Amino acid sequence: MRWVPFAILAYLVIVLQCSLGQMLTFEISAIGSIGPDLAAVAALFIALHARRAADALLAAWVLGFALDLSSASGPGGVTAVGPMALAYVLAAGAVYKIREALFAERVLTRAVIGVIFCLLAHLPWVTLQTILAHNVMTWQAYGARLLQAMAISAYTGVVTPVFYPLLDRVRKWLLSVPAERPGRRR
Amino acid sequence: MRIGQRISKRTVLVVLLAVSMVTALLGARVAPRLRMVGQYVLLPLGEGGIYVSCAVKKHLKNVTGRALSADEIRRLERENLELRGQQVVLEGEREYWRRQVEVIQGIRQSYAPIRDLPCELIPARVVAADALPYGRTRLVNGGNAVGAESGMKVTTRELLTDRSKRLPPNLAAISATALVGRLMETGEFTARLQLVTDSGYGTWARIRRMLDPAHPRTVTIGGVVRRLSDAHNPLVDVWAQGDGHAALTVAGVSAEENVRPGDWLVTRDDDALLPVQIRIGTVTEVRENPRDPHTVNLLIAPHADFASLREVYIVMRLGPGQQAPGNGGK
Repeated sequence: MRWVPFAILAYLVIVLQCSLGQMLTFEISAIGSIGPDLAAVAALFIALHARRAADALLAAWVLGFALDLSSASGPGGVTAVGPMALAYVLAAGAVYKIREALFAERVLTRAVIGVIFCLLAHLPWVTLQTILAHNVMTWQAYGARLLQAMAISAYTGVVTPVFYPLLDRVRKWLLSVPAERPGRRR
Repeated sequence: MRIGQRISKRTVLVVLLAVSMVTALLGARVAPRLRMVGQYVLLPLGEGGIYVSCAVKKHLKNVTGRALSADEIRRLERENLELRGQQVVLEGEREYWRRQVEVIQGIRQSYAPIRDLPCELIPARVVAADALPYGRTRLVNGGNAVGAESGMKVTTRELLTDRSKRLPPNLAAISATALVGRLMETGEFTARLQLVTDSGYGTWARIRRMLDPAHPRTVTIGGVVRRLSDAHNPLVDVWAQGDGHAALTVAGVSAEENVRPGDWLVTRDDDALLPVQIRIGTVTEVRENPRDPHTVNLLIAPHADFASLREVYIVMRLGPGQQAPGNGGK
């Protein structure tokens, strides 16, 4: 894993999500505001291609923590910093475990795994934030947030195949080339 | 031995996870401070992106929308013609009354002490939005350095002019026309603005009932039925809060107040932080309260367009004896 290019990528993704990401956000009156989680796409890409689990989890933590720092409001008002970092690590860990069984080159697979990653990150995040704000949250509000999280995950799944090839183009800058095994001849 | 060799990535990860657990448990006590540090990083590149995003959303709003039928277009053209005629008459009357008011104000100002809005309006610009769509906040580039503090109210900033030509400097009038929200976190150079539609936002406000001679209405006050008129149109005190989506809600308004769609929700002029009445939104729906048939719940659409919100004023209340330095243009 090349950490300096990754830091630049993480920064650009967060800036993109906080500014131009608003163009992709729209309202559904029954659900609320729906927008894609571009950081999840980046974390998913790293989880699918990182050489070591520790690299994938560290990258997921960085992206999740950056999201925590750049979104201030959510279930129950002011949100805590930290739950999204934990949720991203959980999601990246799960994807890393099952990645050998996936055909990540297929568009549909990428979309489905994008939805799964986002669900694994956002549902625990909503739940954790709700528990932390239990004095102001109601079961009805919690249900509404879960529904919104599912819609955001579905939307992220749709955009994952679009953004994935862009990340694929910079893969060599992000991920180090596998080292040769000792004693192996050219 | 190098430090990098001694500390494995696994150890770093465990430490980071522990850090995020601690910050999560500390919740709102540390979150604002941590976020302010992060916002310094967002500030340099965020503004360009939000500018493009606002411009595109504004354009899309203009070009999309429901297509009108030929009958509707003809009806609207007819109405426009009638309204244009009425506008000419009203403009003549307005000009007459404006001169009268100027004369009266001139006399009053000559003999009375100057009273102005005891607030300073700090211009600021939206530079980033929430990364996740769960919340309704914006990052503005006005922090403690310019006097902004948590809790301060924020309004829209609009340029008022009826000239189609490019204006020379110092002639434009700036108006703060609608409440946008309040500052929830402030740092040295940035502040986090909580929009009125955010689920955590709540404020005391008033309903101003709009009078329409074609549809007169009555209200019941103390068992007495009275017809609303210009002379008798009391404001209704309410608690409004954001619904977390795109509107505000007001619960438990007495049905006898006869609030209707089209009425305005305005700020209270006795508010300690914003002592003036400006619009917050317009009532779009009046629903019966299923728990209490004597009351109604209101749904209010905000007056400000948050999709294209760029320029705002942070309202700073001045202490006794202080004068607002930059209020001249308002």
